[in-house]
Amino acid sequence: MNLLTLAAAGLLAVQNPDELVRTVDGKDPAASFEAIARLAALPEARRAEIEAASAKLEPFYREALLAEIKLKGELGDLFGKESRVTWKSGPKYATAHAAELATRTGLVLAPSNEPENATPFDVEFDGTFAMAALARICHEGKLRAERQAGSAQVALQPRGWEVQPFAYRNFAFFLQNAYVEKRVDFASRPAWTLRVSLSAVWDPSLPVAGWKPEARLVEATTDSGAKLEAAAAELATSFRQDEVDPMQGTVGHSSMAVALRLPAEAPAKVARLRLVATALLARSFREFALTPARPKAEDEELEATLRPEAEAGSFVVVLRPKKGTPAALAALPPDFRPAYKNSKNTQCSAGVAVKAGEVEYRVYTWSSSPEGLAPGGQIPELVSVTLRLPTSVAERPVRVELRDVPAK
Amino acid sequence: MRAFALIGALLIPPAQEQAAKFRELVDRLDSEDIAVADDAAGELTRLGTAALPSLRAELGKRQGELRRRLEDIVRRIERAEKLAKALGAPPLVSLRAKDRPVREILADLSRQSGLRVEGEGLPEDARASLEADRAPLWTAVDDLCRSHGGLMYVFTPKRLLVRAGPYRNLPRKSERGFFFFLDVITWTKNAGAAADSYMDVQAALVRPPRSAIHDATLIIEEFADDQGTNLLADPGGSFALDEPTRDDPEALAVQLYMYPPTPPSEQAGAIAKLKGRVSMRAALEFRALLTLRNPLAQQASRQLSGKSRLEIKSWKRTGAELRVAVSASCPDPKDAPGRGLARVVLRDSRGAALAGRSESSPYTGATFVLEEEDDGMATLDDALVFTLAEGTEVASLELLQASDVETISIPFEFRDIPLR
Repeated sequence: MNLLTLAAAGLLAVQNPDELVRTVDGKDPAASFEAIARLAALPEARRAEIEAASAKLEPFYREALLAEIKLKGELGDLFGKESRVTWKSGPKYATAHAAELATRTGLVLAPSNEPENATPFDVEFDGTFAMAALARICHEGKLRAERQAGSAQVALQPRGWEVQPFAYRNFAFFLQNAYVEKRVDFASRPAWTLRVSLSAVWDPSLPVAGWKPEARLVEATTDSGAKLEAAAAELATSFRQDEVDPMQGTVGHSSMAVALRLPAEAPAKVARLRLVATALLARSFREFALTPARPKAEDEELEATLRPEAEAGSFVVVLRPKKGTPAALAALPPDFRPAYKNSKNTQCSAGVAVKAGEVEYRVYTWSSSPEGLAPGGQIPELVSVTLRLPTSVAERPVRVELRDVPAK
Repeated sequence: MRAFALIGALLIPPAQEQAAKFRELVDRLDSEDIAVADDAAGELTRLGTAALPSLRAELGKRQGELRRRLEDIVRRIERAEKLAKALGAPPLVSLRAKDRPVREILADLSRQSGLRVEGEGLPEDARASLEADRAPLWTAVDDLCRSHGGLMYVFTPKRLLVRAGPYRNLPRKSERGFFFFLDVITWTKNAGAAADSYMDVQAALVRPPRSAIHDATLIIEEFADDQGTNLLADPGGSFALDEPTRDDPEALAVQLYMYPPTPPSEQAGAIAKLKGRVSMRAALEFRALLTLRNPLAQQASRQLSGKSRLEIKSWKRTGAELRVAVSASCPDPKDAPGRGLARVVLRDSRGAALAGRSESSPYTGATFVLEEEDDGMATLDDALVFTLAEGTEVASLELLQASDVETISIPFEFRDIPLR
């Protein structure tokens, strides 16, 4: 145990759970969850003390705290280490601050432009969670962050809403989209539904293989204190394709959504939106390297076959399980990393179809480079595809709290 | 038996009477009064296929204007016959089932229709009742779901599925063997962005199996809410209302959709009127532009004619699997009635089109459609994979172009669709 670790352990030992619990007052979600992280990090010996102190918390925070303590024990190394940053900088644009953060944390950033109305600003971080630093930089710089599918890169994009991002420990969540929708399905009475989707970014050291596409609603409260309920599941349409649209993505995607039923007199905002998002952490990965010349690879569990398609930027990977069922295999989030000749910054999304004895992924690739996937209009040449597939996943629920989400 | 014969004799006009009627119509067709002749032409045409032998016999005896009119009637009947063949017929099913397991009912409907009618995620103990007497399959399945209340159907391009879920009373229209329905209407507004609101209408068209209908277009003629908002008003002036759905020509069902350029009024409580038609093209006849005979005699083969080209770049046979790399192109002018209907077909020695799959798309079937290009040409560059039955001899690869195309419409009008 080195000196720094000893010092940190000593600091934790002297922290008073009662004092920390008083900080969890719900006025500022960031401060409340910072205190929860500190409480959860206290040594096991203080557990009874923490649990006693937690009785004073409102249920959402109490459950969050107790769940974190439990998860820390259950997940072990998968719970992830704390990644905190300390630095101070004079006025710079958000992308420059983000680049500094990336250097300090190993975060991989995709090339990004500043929004048109961006201005330089100062930052000061003192033992701040790296993801909280990212959230703060993005919000100040009028950006939102999004982990790109088929890549380890995090893209910074202009944000469309004023909603503060939320960060907790190893995770940051950004409002990706908020829209209201009325669906006439000829079975139920049409009513407005608010659909909120978030994009998640996480510490690069954490083996997140994907996210459950639906977040669980804990609480949604309007300005007037009225509670909003989760919307009923959409009824299936009476036409659907046999094939899954690749643009719909698979379970490996980094976004999640929640749907709320709105009353006839819709509120302007959801003052407080509390959710549980669930990350799927890979216990370990198996990896297959496929090329057009050597399109097959296998291990003791499954066989992978690559089939390049005539359509530019698309290919098919078929997985045949030697043990287990195709449906169980399809529930594991795959990570495709295609490489194209002369192309960089590729991203992809995959549609999945479970067939007899196999799982078929149809993957569509594009590039965020200015010149796109095929510089000079050339048909992109697929060089290789690396497929990383978790052997198994552990669920990691994360409490999320957003404020003032527009509802109309 | 005698009683039936007597009734038959009373009901069916004697042959002489029919012959006399036919002669009378032909005489009226020869009338100098155009209205009388047109009326007779209409009646003769309505006699249909059964009248063709008499009409053809009459043709041999007549000259001049009457002969021309008879030829016209024969052409119209023949064309109607071709159209009926192209449209196909919906699979008819008959079943009396009372409180039977749904899976058994679906298996029965599947057997009778020859289509894949399947349950999806149905509870093992799901039971239902159905009475159908030579009913179109879709009507029977709709009846089955409606009477049960907790079942609903889903069409895919290849299957008809029945799954658990509330019955949805979809606005629908059955006509000429087709089944058109509105599937879902979605009105979306970006939260926090006041002016950003849009609506989309998803519909679907189910076609009789083997109908030669190659594309479908949802054309909306009137679309208004109960506040008098015309959803077709197009402030931008660039909105296309009639983009056809180019689809798998062998699909059982295709999706149709449209986005009206104007959203409903904020106060709208209902869609007052949604009127339009599904317009489709039926190819009555194809002609071969190019044919590669005995195409596997050599590793590569090619044929050119004018601007048309048909080429086998290579082929490989591994066991029963035949993989043929095909390249084809032909003129496909933008304003031609057969636009988008060129296709490639591989035939066996009996002339039957062989079913296969495309390597560049999820398509499986027996006709591989050429893609329309902006330059007025249609092209196909694909590897086609066939699994050949034992003893199958590949006789030809053909590039076909529709030479006779008929446009047909299924009109619809739906009113008072609640938005609240």
